[in-house]
Amino acid sequence: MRNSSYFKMALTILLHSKVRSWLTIIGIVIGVGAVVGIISLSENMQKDMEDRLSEMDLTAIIISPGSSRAMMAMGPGGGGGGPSSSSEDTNLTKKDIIALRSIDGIKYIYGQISGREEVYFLGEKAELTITGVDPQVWQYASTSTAKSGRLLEPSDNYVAVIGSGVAEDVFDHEVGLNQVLTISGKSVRVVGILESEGGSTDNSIIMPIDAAVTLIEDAQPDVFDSIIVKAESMEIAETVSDDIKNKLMISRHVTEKDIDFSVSTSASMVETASEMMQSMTLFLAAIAGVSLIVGAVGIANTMFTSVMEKTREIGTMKAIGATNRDILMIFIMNSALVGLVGGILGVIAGSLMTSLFPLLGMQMMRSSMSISLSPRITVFGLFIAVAVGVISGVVPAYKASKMRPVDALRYE
Amino acid sequence: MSENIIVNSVQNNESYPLIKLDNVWKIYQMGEVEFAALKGVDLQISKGEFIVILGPSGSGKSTMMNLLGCLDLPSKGTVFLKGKDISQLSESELATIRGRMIGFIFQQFNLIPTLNTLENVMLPLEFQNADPFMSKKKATELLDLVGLSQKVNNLPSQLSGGQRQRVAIARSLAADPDIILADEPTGNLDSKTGTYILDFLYELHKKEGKTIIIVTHDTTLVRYAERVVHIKDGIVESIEDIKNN
Ligand SMILES: Nc1ncnc2c1ncn2[C@@H]1O[C@H](COP(=O)(O)OP(=O)(O)OP(=O)(O)O)[C@@H](O)[C@H]1O
Ligand SMILES: [Mg+2]
Repeated sequence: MRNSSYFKMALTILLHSKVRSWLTIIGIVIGVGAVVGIISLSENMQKDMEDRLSEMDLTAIIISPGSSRAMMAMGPGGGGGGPSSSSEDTNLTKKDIIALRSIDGIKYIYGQISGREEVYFLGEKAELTITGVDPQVWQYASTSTAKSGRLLEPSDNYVAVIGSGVAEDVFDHEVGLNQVLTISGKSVRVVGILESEGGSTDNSIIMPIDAAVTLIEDAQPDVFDSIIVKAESMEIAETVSDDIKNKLMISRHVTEKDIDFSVSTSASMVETASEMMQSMTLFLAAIAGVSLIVGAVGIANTMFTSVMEKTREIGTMKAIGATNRDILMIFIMNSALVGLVGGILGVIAGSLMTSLFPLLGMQMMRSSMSISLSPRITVFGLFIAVAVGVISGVVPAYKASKMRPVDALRYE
Repeated sequence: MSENIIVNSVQNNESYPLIKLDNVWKIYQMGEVEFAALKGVDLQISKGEFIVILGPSGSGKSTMMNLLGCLDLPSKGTVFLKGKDISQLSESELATIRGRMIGFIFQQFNLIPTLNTLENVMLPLEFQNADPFMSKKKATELLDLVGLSQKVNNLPSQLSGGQRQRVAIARSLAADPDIILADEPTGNLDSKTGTYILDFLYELHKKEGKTIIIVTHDTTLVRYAERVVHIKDGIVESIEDIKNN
C-alpha cells in the first residue's frame, strides 16, 4: 500500500471515531501545551535575563539583613530597588555603613529603606513601593536617568522621583511633574520622572530617606533594609564584596555560622536568579513529562479499544490483500494523527498560556516580552505530539497486524 | 520484492489444477478438547468451474472456504494453489495471493464502515499498490456494472443489504482475481435480491470464465452449479457433476 493510502485510511478512521475517544487526547493536549509553554517561558526569561545583564550595573553590591541571599532587589538602575527579602530580627544600621567606610574600592555607599504604602493621587489609591535613599549619594550612584525633571538633591525633603510606570500606568490620570501624591497623609511633590528601565524601579517612588522614614510604617531612622555599595570597577566588585563580608562579620561579632546578613554582587544575583529559573523550568518540565506520559497511556488505551472494535474490519482487509505491514502502518498512522490533533490543540493551549505569563505579574519579566510562540517551538510541540502518538500506537498496531485473518473475521 | 516473484510464479503457473486439497484436516483446539472440523478432505477445482459446496450448518463449509481462500492453513494434509503448497508461503505472500487471485464475498458483506462505496471497491487495488487514478476508474466501472453508480459517495450504513452485497461483489472483482469465493452470499438477503446476486455471478462465470466457489446450506443455489460438493461432519460425502446447464 502507498503511504498516501495509509494516510487516507488513518484519516477516515480518525474522522469517524467516537467522541469518547477524543476525550483521551486531553492528556496529550496538556502535555504539549506545558512543553510549549515552558520552552517559550524559559526562552523569554533567558532573553530577558541577558538583556538585563547587558544593562546592569555590575559594580553594585547589596547588603541585606538575614542570612538569605537578596533576590533581585535591584533593578538595572541599581539604586531604587524593591523590597529585599529580609528577616526582621536583624537590622542594618548607620553603624554598619561607618564600619565599611574604610574598605578600599568602594565608590559609593548608602543605606536604603523600602516599604509598600498606599499612595493617593487625584482621588485614586494604589499600593506602591516607596524607596528611601540618601539623596546626596543616590543622585550619583544611581544609573537611573530622569526623563523629565531631575533626580533627588541633598536639600530635598518631601519630594519624590517616580518610575515611568507610576507616572503613566498606575493611575487613570498621568502623574506629571510638580503634581502632588499623598502618602501616609503627607503631600509629596513629584520632582522627576525616570526613564523606563523595565525593572521594579519603574513602579517605585524614590524619596529622600529622612522623609521616607516618616512615611513608611515600621521604618526607623538610621535603620536600613539594605545597604547599597558601588565598587570602583566591575573587576573588583567580587573582592570588595568579600572585604565587606569579612569586615561586617567582625564589626557585628558574628561568624560564618551565625551570620545575620548577606552580601551579594549583582552578578551573583543574576546567577541565583537563573539558577532559580532553571529549577523552576525543571519542575515545569517534570509536569510536562508526566502529562505526556499520561497522554501516551490515554492514546494507547484508545488505540487498543479501537483495534478491538475493528477486529472484523482488520480480518476483512487481510482477506482482500492487506499484509501485516499494511495493517501496522494504518494503525500507527492513525495514532500519529491522533497525536497531531492533540499537538495542535496543545500548541494552542500553550500559546494561550504563554500570553498569560505577563498577566501573572511575573516581576522578572519585562512588559516588552514577546508573547507569541516562535515557529520553532510550535514545530517542536507538534513533533513531540506526533512522536508520542506513534510510540503509544506501536503496541496496539502491532497487535492488530498480528491478528490471524480467520480469527479476526469470526470475531463478533 | 521477492514475494512478488513467488506470487507471480504461482499466479501464472497453468500446468497444475487451480486448487487441490489433499487429505486436508482441520483440527480446532479448545483447551483440552480437540475438534476435527474437516476430516481428510480431497478435492480438486479447475479453472473456470462454478462449484457449490453444500452442507448443513456446522458441517465445516466455512472452515473449508477459509482454506480455499488462503485465510487459514490446514492442520494436516496439503492445500495446493496452482501446484504450490500454501503452507510454504509467508504471511505477506499469502496476503498478496489473496489480494490478487481471490475475491471474497461474505454473508455479512464485511464492508469497511468508514469508507464510502467507491473507496471500499478501490481498497483491494490500493493494497496492491495500484495507481490511484486507475483504481478509481476501475472501481467506478465496477460500481456501474452492479448498478450502483448513484451511490459512490454513500457509506455502507446508508445502503440496503442488497446494495451492500453488490458493493462487496464489485470489491471482490476489483483486482480482477481468478477465483471468487462466496460464503453464504445470499444468507442475509431476500430471495429476489439473492437471485440477482447469483445471476450476476453466473454471468461473470460465463462471460469472463471466473472460477466461482459458493459455500451454502441453501439447496436452491445448486441450479447454478456445474459441480456440487456435499459435505457433512467434515467429510466430503459426494461430488455431483451437473452438466445439464
Ligand atoms: N475457531 C474455531 N474454534 C473451534 N471450533 C470451531 C472453530 N471454527 C469452527 N469450529 C467448529 O467447526 C465446525 C465447523 O464450523 P464451520 O464454521 O466450518 O461450519 P459451517 O459449515 O460453516 O456452518 P454454518 O453453515 O453454520 O456457517 C463447527 O462445529 C464449529 O463449531
Ligand atoms: Mg459458515
